[in-house]
Amino acid sequence: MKQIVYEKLVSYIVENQNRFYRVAYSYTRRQEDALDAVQTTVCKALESYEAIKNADAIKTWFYRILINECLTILKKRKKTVLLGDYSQQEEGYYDKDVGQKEDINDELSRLEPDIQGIIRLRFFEELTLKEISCITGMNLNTVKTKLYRGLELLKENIQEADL
Amino acid sequence: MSKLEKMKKEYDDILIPAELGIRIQQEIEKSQRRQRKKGHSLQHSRLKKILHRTEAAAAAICLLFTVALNTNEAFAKGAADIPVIGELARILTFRSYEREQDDIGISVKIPSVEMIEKDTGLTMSKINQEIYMLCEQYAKEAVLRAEEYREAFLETGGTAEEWAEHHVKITVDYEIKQKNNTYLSFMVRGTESWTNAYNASKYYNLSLETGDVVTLEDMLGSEYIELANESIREQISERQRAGEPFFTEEEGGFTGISEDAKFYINQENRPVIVFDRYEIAPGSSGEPEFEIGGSSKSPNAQQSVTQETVQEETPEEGRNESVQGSQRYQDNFQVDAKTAEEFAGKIKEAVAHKDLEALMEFMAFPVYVGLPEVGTVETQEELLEIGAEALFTEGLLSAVEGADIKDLPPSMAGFSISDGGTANINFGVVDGVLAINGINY
Repeated sequence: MKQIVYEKLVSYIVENQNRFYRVAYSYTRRQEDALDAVQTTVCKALESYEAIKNADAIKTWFYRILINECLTILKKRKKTVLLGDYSQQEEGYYDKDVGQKEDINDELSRLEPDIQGIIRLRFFEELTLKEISCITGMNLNTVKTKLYRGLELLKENIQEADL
Repeated sequence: MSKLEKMKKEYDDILIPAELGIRIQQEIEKSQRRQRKKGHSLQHSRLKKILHRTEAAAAAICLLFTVALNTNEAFAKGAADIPVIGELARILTFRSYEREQDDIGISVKIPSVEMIEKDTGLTMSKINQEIYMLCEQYAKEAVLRAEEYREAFLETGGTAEEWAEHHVKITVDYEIKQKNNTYLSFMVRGTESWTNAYNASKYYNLSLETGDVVTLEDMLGSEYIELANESIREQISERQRAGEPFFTEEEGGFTGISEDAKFYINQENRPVIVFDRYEIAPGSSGEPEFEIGGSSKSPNAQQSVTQETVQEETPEEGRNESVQGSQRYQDNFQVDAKTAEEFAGKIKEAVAHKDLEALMEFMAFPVYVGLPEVGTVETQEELLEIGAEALFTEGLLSAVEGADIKDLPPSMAGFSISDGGTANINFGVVDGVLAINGINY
């Protein structure tokens, strides 16, 4: 029985790898970190697939690991930056590889991590609020509240943003 | 554009590095090794295909086996060939059955190719064997998967009634793409109604002039890969202009065909290359097909049925094949008297000439030899060691010579060539074909 979950998991990973990469890149804004995040997530997922209850849970379970992985990388980055050259701190949020100036995504990155995550999952990955609730472990109402708050902060017209 | 829309666009535009696919494949392979150590039998063929795809396309999309749809009687009847005068070959539904177990519907139709006039020996028999094994294997594995799924379903609280409502169905079937005096092209498919992940398909293209398998190289020449790639790229652009979606190269779309690209031959005798669902385009596009050459297209307009050297079948093997044709049997009772008589006749001849090597070709190993201190003989070498002199005793020679082989009665053990005494040669259906399984003295 677990075997079928394992195989579905492998299929799921291969089919959706691009999605995962985009999520990771959206958080880390760096190619190397994004690749690491996805790879580590895949590794962890394949190692502990037995924890999955059934095939339907694969998606939310995987996203959860992925997001936690991304957040871990960001935390590490902050720490390294602080220990090192203080002047590096500001640049930390910019995509060094591309040498870009502030882009729209940076505004998103300035929000609370929780809210960032919800917005990414809702608008970029187009997941349902219920799925987001499963992934983040927050209850549905909390998710909704944070979502509204996020939109407000982005000064986004709530009607425009099709909730 | 609203801010969010801008962000989404930026998000969608994120470039996927080629390294991604590689890294993921590494992790999967690592995991596979772990699984193996733990003793979990990973359906290797499935994962191999998964890995092959991740290799082939930088950001591999999907590993899918296409599966055939075996649907109902009408389809089956249509698919089974009706022989026509002057026809060179036939595809028969060699084996077909429908059954149900635990509310899992299983429908299997396995084709087999029969060359009518030409004796193609090896090639056809091997192919039919391959087809048969592929289909049975798929069906077996699919049933296992279905059972596992069912178990999981019931364990997580589903009821038996709900399960039955799923109408889970496994199907193996085939479709004839083209059949004329030059080519025979068909495909075999297996599907599972509840998942697309394990669908499988295989295409067979045979030349009726040589009885050999036709490859893309045969049809398009040595530059076939470049030719095909060019043609496909052109067609993709055309279709994209018409609004059909295809994955870009970064997204894992078409980068070129591989040596074993799937193809069939259409009514115009042109090769049509087929891609799996999700291979180069989103699922909504199904399985994209591209005809190479053909009316408006260019080079190699004449399909050249180039004949590469046809392998000469070795005399012994040839003999065995011509005895059997390409018939396959389930059990001894299916064998008709005439075929049994023919086979027995060959045995008689070999024995009469004390031709051990000839006789060996008709044997299935391990074979029982009732000589004192012999018993089961595992290989041809062992048999040769025993030697013709020892094997062809007076008793055996006369028993076989005097045996009446007309209307041999079949039994569970097989057919017996004997004159009523204790010495005899026994043969029966082994792995689908007639073979000697024992000699008694």
